[in-house]
Amino acid sequence: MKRFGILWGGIFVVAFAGSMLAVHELDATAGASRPFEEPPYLPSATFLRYASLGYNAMAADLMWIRATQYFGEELDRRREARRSHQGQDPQKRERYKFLYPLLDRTVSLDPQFMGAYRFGGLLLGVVGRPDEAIALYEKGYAANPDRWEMPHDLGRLYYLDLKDLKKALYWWSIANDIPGRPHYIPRFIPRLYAQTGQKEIAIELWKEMLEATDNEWLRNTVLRELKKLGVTVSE
Amino acid sequence: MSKIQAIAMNTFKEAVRDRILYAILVFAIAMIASTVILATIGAGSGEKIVRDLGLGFISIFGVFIAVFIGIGLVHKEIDRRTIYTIISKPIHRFQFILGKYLGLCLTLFVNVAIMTGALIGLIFAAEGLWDFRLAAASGMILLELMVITGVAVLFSAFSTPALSAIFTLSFFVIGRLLNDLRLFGEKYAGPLAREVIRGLYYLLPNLGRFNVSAEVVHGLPLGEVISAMTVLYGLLYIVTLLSLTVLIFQRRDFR
Repeated sequence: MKRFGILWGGIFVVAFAGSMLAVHELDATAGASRPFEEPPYLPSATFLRYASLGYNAMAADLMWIRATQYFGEELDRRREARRSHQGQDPQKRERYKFLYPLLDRTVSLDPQFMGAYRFGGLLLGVVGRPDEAIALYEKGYAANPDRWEMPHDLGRLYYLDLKDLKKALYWWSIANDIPGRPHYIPRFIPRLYAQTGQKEIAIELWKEMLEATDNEWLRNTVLRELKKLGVTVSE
Repeated sequence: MSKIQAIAMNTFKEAVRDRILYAILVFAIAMIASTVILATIGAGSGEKIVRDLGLGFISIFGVFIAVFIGIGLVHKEIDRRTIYTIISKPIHRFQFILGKYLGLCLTLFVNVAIMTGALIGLIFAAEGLWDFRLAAASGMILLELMVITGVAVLFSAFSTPALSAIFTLSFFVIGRLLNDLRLFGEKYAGPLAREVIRGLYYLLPNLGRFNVSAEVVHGLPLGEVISAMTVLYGLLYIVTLLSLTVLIFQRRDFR
């Protein structure tokens, strides 16, 4: 009985030590871990929804984590490529090409996942894929028409990144009508009307705001903006 | 009633003596706690991730408990031949089935309560707030588990544990996808197939009705998803399953 114990104990030690050595050897030959290059196969959102058996939110979270990891890995690879190619990235066009599909799956699994729309859209904008950012935000707005975040972010993208003031105005006007929107949105709208040449509307909106507020700082801001448009209001 | 209660308490005691239950529970709590690690790489969505995964683990491990204890509930008594001792006593067979079922439901209640307590405590430790809305989601998870237990007990009354596990898990999968199946039928199926799917829709348990995790996590109003009708539907389906189990069990010949 004791001999059996020693025998099996010996087998355990040898097998365990052998497995550790094998892992060490594999790491040395193939790298410690396989880099997360790109998802070799990304199932469709419909398939994922069925496969997750109603645990859609859980699947969306895991997909979201995968998307952020993918972004981080691509960022590292881009830095590495630039370092070794005198500041140029030969695969620039291919970079981040799976970011939108990953984000799309995430929000298809959980259409109320605001973080994925907002942060995901921001990332797509940052890496120079504004069309995909717009598609993501618009999908978010279609799924959550009572949330101000999507039209707000679309306005921001059009204004800051794409310099399309008319579209920025369109989306911020939508955001302005949704309860809970940030306090600065109403101020942006008349400014945009002024910048897009619609001075009359801008003046009307500023005046309306002036009448609606007692806030000293806001009143001074409105008076300043009106002055810029050539209108002087007596207090 | 006291006979049913006695069988239920005995089933509960038997279940909590089962080491596999503790293994599942410890593993579930470890998984719930590990959501904090995933939350840190969630890029600003950590709070949502902890809640989603936490509720998901409560449901998944609850299903494990319901299925793997439920399937052996009646069969074990037959296999050990303890059923002869029980049915020779002045106990109706329906009392035996109801007692067994309620005992397992009590076990599930205790387990879900512990897991939910762990999740709420974890969120309090991480965010400093008591999120009691999670208890509403857990309540609905418990109702879903009670339906699954009903299915497991039904199969346990006339089948082997292995087959019962396969059948119950199949019911779980179909039940979870039933809404999609109906939509698929309405959109793509021909007239006959549509009628068959409609029939299946009313025949099989619509477990998707009990899934309110998304509403809880996103802070959406619960009034629309947790209605008295949803609870009534769950309870009526359980009664249907149990009455069928009693009918089958009554006809079984233990000689």
